[in-house]
Amino acid sequence: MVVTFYPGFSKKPNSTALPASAAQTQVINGEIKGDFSPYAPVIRFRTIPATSCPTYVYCYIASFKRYYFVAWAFVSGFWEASCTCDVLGTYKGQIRASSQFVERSGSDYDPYIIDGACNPKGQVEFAQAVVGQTAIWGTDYEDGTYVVGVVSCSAGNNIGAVCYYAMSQLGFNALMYALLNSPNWMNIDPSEISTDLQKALINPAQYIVSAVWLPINAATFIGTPQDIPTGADVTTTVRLGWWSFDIQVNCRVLHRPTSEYDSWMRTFVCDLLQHPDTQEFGTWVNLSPYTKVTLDFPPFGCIDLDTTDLMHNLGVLSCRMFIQTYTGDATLYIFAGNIDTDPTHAQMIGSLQANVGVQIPVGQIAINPSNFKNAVVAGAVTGAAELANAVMEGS
Amino acid sequence: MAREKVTIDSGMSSSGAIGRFFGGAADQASEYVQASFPAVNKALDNAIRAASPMVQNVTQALEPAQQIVAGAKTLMSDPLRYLSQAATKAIPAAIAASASLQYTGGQGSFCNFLYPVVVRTKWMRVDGNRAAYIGKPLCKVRPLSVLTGYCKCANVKLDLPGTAQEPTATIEELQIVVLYLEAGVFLE
Repeated sequence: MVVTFYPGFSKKPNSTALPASAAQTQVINGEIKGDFSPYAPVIRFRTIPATSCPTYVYCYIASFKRYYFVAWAFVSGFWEASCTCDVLGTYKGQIRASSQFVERSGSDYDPYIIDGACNPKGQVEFAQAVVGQTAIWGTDYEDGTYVVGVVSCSAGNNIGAVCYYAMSQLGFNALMYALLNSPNWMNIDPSEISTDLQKALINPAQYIVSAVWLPINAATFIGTPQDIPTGADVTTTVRLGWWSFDIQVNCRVLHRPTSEYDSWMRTFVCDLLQHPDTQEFGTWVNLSPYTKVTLDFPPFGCIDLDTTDLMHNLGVLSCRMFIQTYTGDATLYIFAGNIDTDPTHAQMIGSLQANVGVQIPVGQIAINPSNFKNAVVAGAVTGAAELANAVMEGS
Repeated sequence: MAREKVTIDSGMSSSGAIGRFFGGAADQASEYVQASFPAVNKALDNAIRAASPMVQNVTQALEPAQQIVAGAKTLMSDPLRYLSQAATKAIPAAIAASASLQYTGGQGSFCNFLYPVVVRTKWMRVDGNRAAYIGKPLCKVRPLSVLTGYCKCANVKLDLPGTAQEPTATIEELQIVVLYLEAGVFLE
């Protein structure tokens, strides 16, 4: 029986590797010892000197069409090769031709399947990315916008009884100066009511029913000195009660709730940072618990984002914010993906509500029937008690 | 009869005018009442003085009654002054409560906006790559001819009927091949 040995060839037992066709070979004739099976024959070689231990570990027996692993033994004055069929090498062609359900592979993988065979380490890293290419909020409150609600007779510009003006800090200062510098604008003859009594009796701030500071650059509403928008909504006149004031500073009348100025909307996009092991292990490392993502968006708060939501469109996070400028009430919508450039695939993953405005203290009448009733009762009781006390003292 | 001057507290500036208005009218009315009913005043005064030793000894529960009696006497003696005083106290108290500054902060805040909006990320690193030894998850049906390196299969369905180059596998060999594929082999 002809046995072909492959000097210098070795392989892993669970490998389909075969000797190259041009590999060095050594052909030796041998004889089968005793009963055998093609899977594990024992071959005796009479031509191999007893003093020369064979080093071949792999062979091919053409008669059986099989490759074998070889183990040598010197038995009764002859070298014997105990062969074990290398089934992976022998049937390599048919194995490779088959299709199987592959759980794990060294050459192909699904990056979204969590690999339980990998071990998380106690090594933690932090990173942060700024949302928006430009600052969402200004850094100086004087850059912000004041939206002042004034009870007036500004027909056509009112929301209910109130006309809202968006103005800068400069505009707000000018308005308050116009109101409180002198009571002359009331045109009350000092001979009828003295100037001091006019100041005591009439509080012009009572017409200002709301004042909200918004962290939106005032130029958004009234433009810049170099670029002042035109149109009827940009004015220097503020109507208050029965009066009108020319404050000499531009402000914008807000009277269309669905307009871009009344419902201020902006979208901010942020590139999400990838887990440093993404390239090596797969996208799944961007899931919890390997990754934790927090959106820190004042005043909405710190929002822990579900990393499975972010997998929908990995890499980009969009924040779209609507602010009702009259009140500062705001809604923040968070999207996985770019809602501006790819709205079809952007997926909303959450919404939050907050008030981004800062309520500016303004002296005004607060109508609270409950408080009013309580005050009347308390005052009456106090008066009655003092009355009784005075009676006792008088007695 | 000499009466102690009762001072009306005018309260807030806005209510001062009201207080002064009521106070002035009360002063005039008081003088009129005292001049018109001296006998009534004196009788009531004497009655209270006579009853006072007993009143001082009664329990505290009777004190309101004493005050009522005294109040009635005083009210009779100077009704407009004290009624005006009660009104003067009640009205400015109500006005003062409603004319407070309305300040409803606690929502937005100036300091909130000093900080940028950021996405903070924390990563837990993963142990070194062993893909060369154990591969990575694929979990899909694939022709093994397109794969190289480590390969671990599940639910192997294999038939080795033999070819011109390869023999037909025995059942034992077939079982061994299946075991190898399910345990993980290297396709080379």
